[in-house]
Amino acid sequence: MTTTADRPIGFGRLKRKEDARFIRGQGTYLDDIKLPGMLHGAILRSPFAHAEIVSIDTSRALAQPNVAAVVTAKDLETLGLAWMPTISYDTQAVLAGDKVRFQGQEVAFVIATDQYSANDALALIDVEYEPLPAVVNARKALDPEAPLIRDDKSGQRDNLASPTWEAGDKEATDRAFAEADTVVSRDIIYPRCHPAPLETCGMIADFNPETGQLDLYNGNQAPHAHRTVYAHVAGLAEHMIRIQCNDIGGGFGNKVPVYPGYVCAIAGSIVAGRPVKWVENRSENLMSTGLRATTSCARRCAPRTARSPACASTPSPITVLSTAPRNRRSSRPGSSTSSAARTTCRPPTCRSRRSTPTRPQAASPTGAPSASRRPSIWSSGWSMPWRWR
Amino acid sequence: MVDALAMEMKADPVELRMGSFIGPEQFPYETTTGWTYDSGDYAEAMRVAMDMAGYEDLRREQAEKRARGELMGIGVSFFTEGVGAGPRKHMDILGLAMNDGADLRVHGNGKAVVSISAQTQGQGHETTFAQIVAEELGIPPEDVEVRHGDTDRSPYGLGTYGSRSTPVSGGAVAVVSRKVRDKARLIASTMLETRVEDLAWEKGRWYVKGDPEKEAMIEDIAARAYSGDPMPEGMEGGLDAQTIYDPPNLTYPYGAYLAVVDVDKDTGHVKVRRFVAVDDCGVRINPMVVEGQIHGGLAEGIGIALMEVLTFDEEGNCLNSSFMDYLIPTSLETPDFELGETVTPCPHHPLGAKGVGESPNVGSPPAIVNAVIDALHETHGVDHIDMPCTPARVWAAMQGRPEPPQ
Repeated sequence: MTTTADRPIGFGRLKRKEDARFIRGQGTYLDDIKLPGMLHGAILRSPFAHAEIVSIDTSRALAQPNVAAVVTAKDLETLGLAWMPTISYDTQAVLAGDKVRFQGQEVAFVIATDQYSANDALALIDVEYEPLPAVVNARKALDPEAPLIRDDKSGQRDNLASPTWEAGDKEATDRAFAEADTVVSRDIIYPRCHPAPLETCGMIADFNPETGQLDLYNGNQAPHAHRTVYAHVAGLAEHMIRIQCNDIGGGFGNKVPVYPGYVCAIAGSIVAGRPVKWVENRSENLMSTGLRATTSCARRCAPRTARSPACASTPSPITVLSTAPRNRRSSRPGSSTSSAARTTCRPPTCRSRRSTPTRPQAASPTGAPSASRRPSIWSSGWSMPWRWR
Repeated sequence: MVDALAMEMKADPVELRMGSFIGPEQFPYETTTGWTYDSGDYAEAMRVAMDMAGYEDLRREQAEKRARGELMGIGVSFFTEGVGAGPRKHMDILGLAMNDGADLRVHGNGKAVVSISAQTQGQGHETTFAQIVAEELGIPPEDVEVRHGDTDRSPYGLGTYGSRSTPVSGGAVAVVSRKVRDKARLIASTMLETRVEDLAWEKGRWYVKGDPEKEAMIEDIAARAYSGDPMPEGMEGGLDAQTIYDPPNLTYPYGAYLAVVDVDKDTGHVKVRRFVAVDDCGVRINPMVVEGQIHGGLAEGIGIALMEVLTFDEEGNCLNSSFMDYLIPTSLETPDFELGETVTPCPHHPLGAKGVGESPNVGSPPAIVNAVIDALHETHGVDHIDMPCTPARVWAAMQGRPEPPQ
């Protein structure tokens, strides 16, 4: 009889099971995958932070012998893939059609029989831009004279990207500060940093026109949520999409969002009827994918004194007030779209200052209103600026 | 901020913190913004960190160096953060509940396959989640295969970020393992011809209370579940279960960090000489994996505090979109990290575990920046500096010309 004492423990310093393949160089990362008949994609990116697109001429690129297709916003419109939702409850152009809103924004997608031909063809796409003033400073983005970046959104009159909210007891907090013996305040800037995973982002899309099955190879941090987004954007049944992540060379939040390049690879595979691989280079990763936006906050801090219990209901020993970030702005210059991961959180006492669409919902167990609850991606209350397929 | 207050009050930053902590008896602690901190003993973590660092000796060393004209700084930070999104009553992404599923099947040979929705990016899920099943069922972790990252082979869930794998998916795996264990108990009662309530669990087996020799090992139970022998009344064959875990609350890991830096008085270059990190993330499933997470996060924190920033010119041109000029830390910039721990189990997580992936990123930048300010405050009057504390920015601050950030 095996006694339980002989059994290995559950918890403890067990050597990692996955390391055997990693230290032998036997991991399977995205770029290791090669499918039969696979084409290669490359993205033409905007050199301007903010500019009107006057015209795009792809004829010289298309004339190249190894180029299979060049996809632009116009082509995506016919597929219903021109815009996509972001996980920040915003929308994002897959390929820019009317104007570009940050340097490095995706403008055209070339598909060719090999990676070199795809990259070379980028230089043969002629795009005429009309440059516009850019917004590069988080603190100036809300100035009345700041150029409006997201004029594609109806009702958008400033560069405020996300709803503001407040929480806590303002009166009690103000009183605590007023009565404190010592108050210090600081303006703190958290700079734009990039997660910089060693493996950059990429996608292989393999659409089978016979069965309608879409196979995706893509190292991301939330495959099921991505599948829901693709099903929604492409109008496909969710169970007809399969995402395989295999090994991922770091994420750190950078691989949470759905990026335009992913949708381009899907569109490319639908157009070409063959698998399409797209893998970004380091500069593309640093310039165009999710990062920590510049965050600026004004903070005050005071010690607890006998006279000033810091907060109303349950005294916190030190009062630290973080005002609603004064300018929590875009992750990119000239853009008000942040594709950084953002969860909608509703602390029970949170009050949304901006009206947001609501859907009928039972009150939370605390009885507090869930003011910032927004419609689900599936619900009819979720409005998209593009045609529902 | 607490250091700024300490500076203003001419108080020691550690003492100010020690006098201000939420006490262990105050948990669960309802914050004024509506979130409830689950558990903690903050002062204890701070004491452990100060003991490890030798705080008073460091202050003495600093005074001696200052007398010699050398710039040494000691920076402390204490943090907690809510991780493990999350409870469906409080949060969602695009209207999707932030819950995670787990499917567990124990095959007739006693080996198990657990499928989860959290996707590893290198942090060891294939090991950690196998260990959870191993702990709950008493089978070797080597006999547990973890499937993930394939939407056709894993249950729905919202994935890995925000330190949520262990708080949410880990909870799911514990719950599904216990469901399998409960089913195994019913099968064992048939095998041992005894009542269910007369059976007791010990890692790997159900046995008869008062007669421990009379037992059913989990692999025997699994074999029975797929055999032609009778199953308990009304029960289907096979030994498997599935679940979707909705965490009742976030988990609140915390930590006390201390950085020692040396600043070159001629160039403004900052070197992190020591870094002490005491983390409390509740029960540690695999301490080595946890420490690996902390090492990586501390390195990132050094990058954030001292090196990393994406810069743009007035026209919005990115000025450093390559690793030639967007600097990330290497082993040359990072000291040998000194790690410590306290363990305050999470009261609502099935395993008592909390998330840890982001803790070192939260705690390390303020400790380092506080250390830089501490090095320069007395001699150069610096009371604030923005990240990243590059040599140019530190040197400008030393000359009384702090560089205003964008």
